[in-house]
Amino acid sequence: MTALGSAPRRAATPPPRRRLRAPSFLLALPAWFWLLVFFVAPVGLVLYYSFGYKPSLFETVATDRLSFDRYLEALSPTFASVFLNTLWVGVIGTILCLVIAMPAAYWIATKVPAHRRGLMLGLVLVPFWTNFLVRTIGWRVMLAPEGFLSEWMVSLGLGPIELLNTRGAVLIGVVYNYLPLMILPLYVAFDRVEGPLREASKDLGADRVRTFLTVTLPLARPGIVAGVLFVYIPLMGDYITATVLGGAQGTMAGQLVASQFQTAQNWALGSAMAVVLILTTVLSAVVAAAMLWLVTWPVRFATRLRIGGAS
Amino acid sequence: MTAPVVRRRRRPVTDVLLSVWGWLVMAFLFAPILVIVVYSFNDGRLLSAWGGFGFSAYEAAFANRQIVATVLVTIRVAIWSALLATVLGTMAGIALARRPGRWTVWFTALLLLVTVTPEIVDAVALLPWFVQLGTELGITILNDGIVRLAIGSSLFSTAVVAYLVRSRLVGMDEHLEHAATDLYATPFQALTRVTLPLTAPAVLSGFLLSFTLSLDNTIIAAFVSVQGSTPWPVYILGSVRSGLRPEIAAMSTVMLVLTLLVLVLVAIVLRRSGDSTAQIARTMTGG
Amino acid sequence: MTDTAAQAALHAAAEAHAGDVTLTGVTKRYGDAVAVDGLDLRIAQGEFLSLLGPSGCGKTTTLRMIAGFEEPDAGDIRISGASVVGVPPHKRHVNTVFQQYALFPHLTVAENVAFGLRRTRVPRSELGGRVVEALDMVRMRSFADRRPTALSGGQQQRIALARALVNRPSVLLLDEPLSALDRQLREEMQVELKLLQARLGTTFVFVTHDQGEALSMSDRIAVMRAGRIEQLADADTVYGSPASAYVAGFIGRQNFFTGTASGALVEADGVRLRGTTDLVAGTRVRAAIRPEAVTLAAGEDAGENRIVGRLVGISHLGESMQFIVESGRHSIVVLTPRPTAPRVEPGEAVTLSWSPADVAVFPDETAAPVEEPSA
Repeated sequence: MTALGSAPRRAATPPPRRRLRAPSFLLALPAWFWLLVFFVAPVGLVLYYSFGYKPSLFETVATDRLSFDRYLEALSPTFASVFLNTLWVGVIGTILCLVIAMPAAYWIATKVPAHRRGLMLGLVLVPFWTNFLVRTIGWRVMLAPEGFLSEWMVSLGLGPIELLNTRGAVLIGVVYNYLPLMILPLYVAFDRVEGPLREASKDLGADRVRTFLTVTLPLARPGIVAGVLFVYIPLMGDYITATVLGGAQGTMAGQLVASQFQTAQNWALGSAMAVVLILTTVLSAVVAAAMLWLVTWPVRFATRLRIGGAS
Repeated sequence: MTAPVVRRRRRPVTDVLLSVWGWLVMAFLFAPILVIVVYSFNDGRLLSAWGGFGFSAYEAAFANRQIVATVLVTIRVAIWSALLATVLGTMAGIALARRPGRWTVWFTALLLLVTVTPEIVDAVALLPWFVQLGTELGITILNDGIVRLAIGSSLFSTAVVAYLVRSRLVGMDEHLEHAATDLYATPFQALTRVTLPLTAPAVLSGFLLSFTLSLDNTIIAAFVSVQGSTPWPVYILGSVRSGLRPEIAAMSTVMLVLTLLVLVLVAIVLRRSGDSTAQIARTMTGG
Repeated sequence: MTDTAAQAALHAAAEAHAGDVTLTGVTKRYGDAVAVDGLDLRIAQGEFLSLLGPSGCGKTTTLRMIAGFEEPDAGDIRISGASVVGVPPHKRHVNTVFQQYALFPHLTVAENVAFGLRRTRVPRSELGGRVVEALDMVRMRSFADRRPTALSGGQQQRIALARALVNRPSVLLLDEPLSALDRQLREEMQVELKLLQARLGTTFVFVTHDQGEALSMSDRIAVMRAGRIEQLADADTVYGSPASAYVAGFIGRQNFFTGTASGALVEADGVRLRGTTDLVAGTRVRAAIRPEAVTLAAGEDAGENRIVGRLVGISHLGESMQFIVESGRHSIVVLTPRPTAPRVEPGEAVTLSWSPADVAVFPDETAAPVEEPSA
């Protein structure tokens, strides 16, 4: 058929003009250019600045002498404690997000009737697309000692809420702000574990708990990893939640970086702190992955079954 | 014959617990938003202290020229940023899906880097960069607040649009384009008559997503905005320090309603194009 | 060598449990739609029973109720004598081979097969041996440590079978297990399944929409329609003496003629068919003749149980030849074994004839399927 179709065509029109075919990446070129100029170059500049210094009160950075001094400064005890606190909030916040999101995502993916899942996802998305600052301010209103929640607590005899401007408030804020980012990939992951696989598991004698642990959870692993990264990475860099809910103490590394650029005008130190922040985020994620791999090793060993080659 | 037996398995406890948990999570997600909406009808002077029900906050918000100006800045920035991101991202997405090669690895890595870099790092990087280019190299357009803001919020969105377009095209058979060329279409015609219409839903949802992302952009905006073109989120951030007033809740409620309308539009467009709920969720989150 | 071990296991499986299934007045509704409508069915121990019907006839729902994935709204299901209504699937001694196999992609072949044994706490020492036996049974031992996603459809099919049979179920349920395979493999697997079932003596309940599959393997076939059983009989009866036009049309191919009966004669648009049963004159009926019962000859010679038509198409189907003949409004399919096929050319006038014993007459039901499109 193809032969029949193309034969008269070849006679009627000139052969395909290869030279007109654009080079493969031409369409992506503008985006390449854009991201190189406004992402790679400026971030590279920050990396460069991080080896510089602040020459005088009125200048922000100088790079005529390069050294690691700013890194040493960034890791000095006062600042290091902020990085540790950031790590604490990041790890605990991510774990809380996972623990809260897992049953909710599983519920939407498997228990909510199929025709209502879209609505449920829409509801999860609504806060996700509400202004970040505004919803954080909503928590500020709720947690305020003179607010309605506090008054209810007092009338119940539980005393006023004294969470605002503490680490606890920051934790509530970040869990709230990043929860949709955890629920959605988990939902997609659970949704992909097809009904027949869960049915097969039950058919083979596994109850619902066993089925979840031995079939659903292992198969949803890529989604869990994605969700954890989606939450952990922006959470580590977040400083707005801490600014709105955490008070003036400055407990997150993001605030530290911002203040070096905005108030202290020390771009060199701020840049070094930004680099340390990225490295902390990446290294802690790698360490966590390695630990998880080691901890689950006995389980994986127990379920392994090797028969060995042909008989 | 035995009488018909009617027995049913009880709904397991775990199912009940799961749905209770699910609804609790929903309540948690909506609580602060409801609070903001309710407190936008607060007639008091301070946001968190209830001073009776009324619409004075809305009147005050629209009468406040500074608030109106910042909202207009934000909307203008969002339109420009969304246009930029959509054009750049769509072209990149088509190239990724239809012209794969060794370059795709590098480009995908770059997009990934853009999406995972903390916003604060982008922000602190763009500030000296704009200063450098704008004042020292004399590219004066970069001294314009709107331009700076639009560029700043276009970066992440470009990557998102590229993902969206790519995943839509990868899911579609390239035979359609081959069929077009078999029917005498030039490669350019195949692109404009077949590929682009096929991508249209992803392009449109990408545009709307970029728009809402830009409305939300706070961190980068806080760093790169210049005097006279303060965007709305930066104005709010400023009033967190100086004192929150009900006007903020009122204007936020208006913005929330507008954003929701945009979102519903995305969902409708995607459903029209035949996506399943899961696909829509994936598209909306850029996964 | 391992054959004897496997054999021993198979016998043990056969003796372990009685495997009869009884459904009494089983009904299942989804909203207003009735999927299964007061179904009564007794499946004997060791029987190979097929549930045959088009999609939506309730066959899969019936299977899923036996497995425990669905609960009947009314009626009782007994397996090996005990009612299983309200018993969750993981506590029923039945296993299922799923349509798309549903092999766990995160486990190896051996781990897939071991899944059920682990749930019933088969000791570790016994585990490996049982898995190897099951894999030997389906000749897949050399694939034990691979991932199922790396296997072909036929191989996955065998693993799914081993994963179910290793648990020595009293009843094995098969939900269109061959539908995803290509034709040749499907035919091979039909033979293999039948042999396996004969060796094991396990009760097999096999759901299919493919009449060829049902005919080739089953001891008995339950032809289902709209949630009820239309005919329950062995393959020969279902094929040779279909209980209704519906069954006749679903099993094998048919040439249908709608007309009016007068005695044993059916008058249908110029075609006169004489059957063997007398009917009340004036009854609207559908007469059916199987393509292989029709004899085709060159020339024109009309009469009772003979019609003249024009040959419009000849197809070679391997062991037989298929002729399409047009006669008036009718389009008739004729199947003739290759050696006895007459030498005719398209466009020629031909005469078709058949014997009265091959004319099956059913009451005319508008809902009955019309002649099946070409296979």
